[in-house]
Amino acid sequence: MEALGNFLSQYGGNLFAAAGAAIAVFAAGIGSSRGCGLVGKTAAGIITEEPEKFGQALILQLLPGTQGLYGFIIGFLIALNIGSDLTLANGIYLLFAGLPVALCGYRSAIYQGEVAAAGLQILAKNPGETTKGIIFAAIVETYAILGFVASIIMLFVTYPA
Amino acid sequence: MAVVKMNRFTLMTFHTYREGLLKELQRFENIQFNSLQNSEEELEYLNKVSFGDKVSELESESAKIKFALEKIKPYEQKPSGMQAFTAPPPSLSYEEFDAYTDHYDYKSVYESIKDADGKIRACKSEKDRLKGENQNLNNWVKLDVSLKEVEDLKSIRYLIGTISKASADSFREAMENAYPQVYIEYFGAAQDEVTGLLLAPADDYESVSSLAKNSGFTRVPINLPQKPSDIIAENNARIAQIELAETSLAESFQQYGSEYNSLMIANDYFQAALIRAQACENFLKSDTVLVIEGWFPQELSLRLTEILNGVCGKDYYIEETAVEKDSTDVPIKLKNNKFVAAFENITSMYSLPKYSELDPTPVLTPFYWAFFGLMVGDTGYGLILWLATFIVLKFFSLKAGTRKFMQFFHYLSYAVIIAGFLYGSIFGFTFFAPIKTETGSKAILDTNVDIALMIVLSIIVGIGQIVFGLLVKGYALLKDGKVFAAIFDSLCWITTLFGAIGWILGGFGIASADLGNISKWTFFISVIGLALTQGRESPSLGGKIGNGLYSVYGLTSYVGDIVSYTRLVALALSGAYIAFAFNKMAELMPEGILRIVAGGLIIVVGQTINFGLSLLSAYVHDCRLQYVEYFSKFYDGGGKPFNPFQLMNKHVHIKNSKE
Repeated sequence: MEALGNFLSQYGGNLFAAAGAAIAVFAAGIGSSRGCGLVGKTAAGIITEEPEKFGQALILQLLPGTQGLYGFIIGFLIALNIGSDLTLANGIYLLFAGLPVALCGYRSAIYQGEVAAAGLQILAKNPGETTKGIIFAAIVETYAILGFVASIIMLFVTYPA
Repeated sequence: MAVVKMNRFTLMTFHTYREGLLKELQRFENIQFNSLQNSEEELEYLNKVSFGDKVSELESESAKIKFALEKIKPYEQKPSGMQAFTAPPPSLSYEEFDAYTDHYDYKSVYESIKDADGKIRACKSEKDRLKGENQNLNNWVKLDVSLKEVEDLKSIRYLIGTISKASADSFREAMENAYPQVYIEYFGAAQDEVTGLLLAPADDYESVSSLAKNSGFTRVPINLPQKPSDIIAENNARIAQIELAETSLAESFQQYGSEYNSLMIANDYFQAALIRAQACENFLKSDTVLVIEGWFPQELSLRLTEILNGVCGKDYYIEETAVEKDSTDVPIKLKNNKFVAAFENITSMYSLPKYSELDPTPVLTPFYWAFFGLMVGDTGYGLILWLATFIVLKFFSLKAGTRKFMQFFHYLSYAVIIAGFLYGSIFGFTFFAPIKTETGSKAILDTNVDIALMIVLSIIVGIGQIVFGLLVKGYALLKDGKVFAAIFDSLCWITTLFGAIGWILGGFGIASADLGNISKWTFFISVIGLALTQGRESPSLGGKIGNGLYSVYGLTSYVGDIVSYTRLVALALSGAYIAFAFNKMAELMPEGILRIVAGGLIIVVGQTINFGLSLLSAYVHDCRLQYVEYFSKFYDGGGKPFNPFQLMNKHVHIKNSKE
């Protein structure tokens, strides 16, 4: 038991921080890839008949991709803190700091993908109004932005340095 | 700065002037017809105008031109690259445009294109047929006799067919054992079958073929008058001939590329004629007289009279009435100065105002402009946006809608640049830090240090916009002369809001205790005022009280509205930190050439992504703030857009008489 305690107090800080960075990146990334994949599948169906709509379909596919970017940025910023003097407490703090963007990003990207895929129907039937579909999808992103900002605040404003 | 005042008119004139009048009104571009044919009034001596025949005729001519355009589009001789965007569209005077199809023989161009297209298609289908035949014959290539020769044999009969690869050898053995005189040759294999020829003496033929059938040898009914290899060679020769013909046809098709421009003009001509013919379906007529009803902007009344005098001389009667304030079917047109007009697209995306309402665009514009700047907040992005829109507006030839959109972003770029100075940020680097602190200097609103301050400021801005919205509502009500409504619906809410805020601040000790007290009583009095007056529309007393209390409950939604303004900070921060992270990533590269090249690449790619992301988010969330938090305080909307009878040219620009 004591050995475990020693191990954790010596190396635990970096380990937990690493876990925080990893979770931020992969959770948001998985969400984004699912969201973009959903849209891509539906978009391919439209392009079979109307290849000239590729540009707008691509914009709709790009929309759920931002959560992965947010997760990556937070993971990067967490990883910057890994070093020789990271205490266990701070390490666990960094693990939790990565969670807002990880979980918000994961779920909101999938939902955003569903909205964007529905927006593709507007593109198919009434191409002049596609911007409204883009706006619908961008509204879902609000929560990913809030998760990102929450992680930022935990990293920079309230970090117990 | 408002909804354009409209006049409703009823015009009567003779049929003979119809076409000329329609042409002039189409050029005027400021009349919207009211469909008299849908009105419920029973007018006994007036019939519907219908040009079904003319419309179908125009549609079929238009379809011919569209067909021709589609066929020669790949050969269009258009300018390449940047020229394609900057070259102005062809322009004609209206007289030239109207007489275009008199001088341009589009019919013969159409016929020749149709002809050539038909020939090309015939060639293609012939070629495909021959290729298909060759494909089938591939299996039989090794057969070096023609089946006709085999048929001529008197004492031998043949069987030609396929058998699965697996059974091929066992079949041959079985056959040779049973009938040693039989000759079997296999040639060609396709998938898991082999094709084979079986020769048997005529007498044994029946038994041989039944044995073959039982063993899985399936007959193929094929007819080969010559050796397969000969047929294939012939087909190939024919294919080569066809390909030569195709190339020469394609070359001749190229010459039609020069007709593309003229055909586009002819297409526009027919579209204009079609619009005129379809517009007639709004009118009513008697035997000699045509009745037209519609709307036009009041200020153009003289111009309309001039047009009518020009076309009909004295042979017309027009009745103009100013549209009543509460009219619901009048179309809405907005008129604003150049800056505010760029923001009309935001209003119309939500809903145009009713005729009796204020145009919200002027009170929308400064808030939208400022919030957009605050949410993007980077001078570098602002400069790029400014430069890009400047170049496009100056050098590219754009349609009116795109031009307005570019102008919109051009104005917004100024807000972004100014906000960049506020946050001191250029492409994520802090460049303007005028305020001294203990550790150095910081920007006016530093995204590292001042986050709590920014949140408070955004809430104050939010309260400001909400109060302003309530004041606009009060102003609109006062303009209508409804003084009591203004007090109850606008002033009461404002005093409630300030009362609540003052009370809360007093409770936290930020404001003095006296102020807190006064605010507390202001709040209570205002809430009672609201409860008594907000339900006054209801017929019953219970309804009045119930609705009044219900709208006091509506105060809780104000909390949500106010907090929603923190998204101004959220978006500013997200943009700032993404830029910061990419810059940091570039810094992590090892010193030297790698940092310059790879780091530079990371910064360029990252900042571009962030640029696009920030602009899109700011656009969407700014719209959301205006629609949900601001408009809900004073604006209903519900107007229909003014859709005038006009030319809808896709290609040609009609010169004004002044040009």
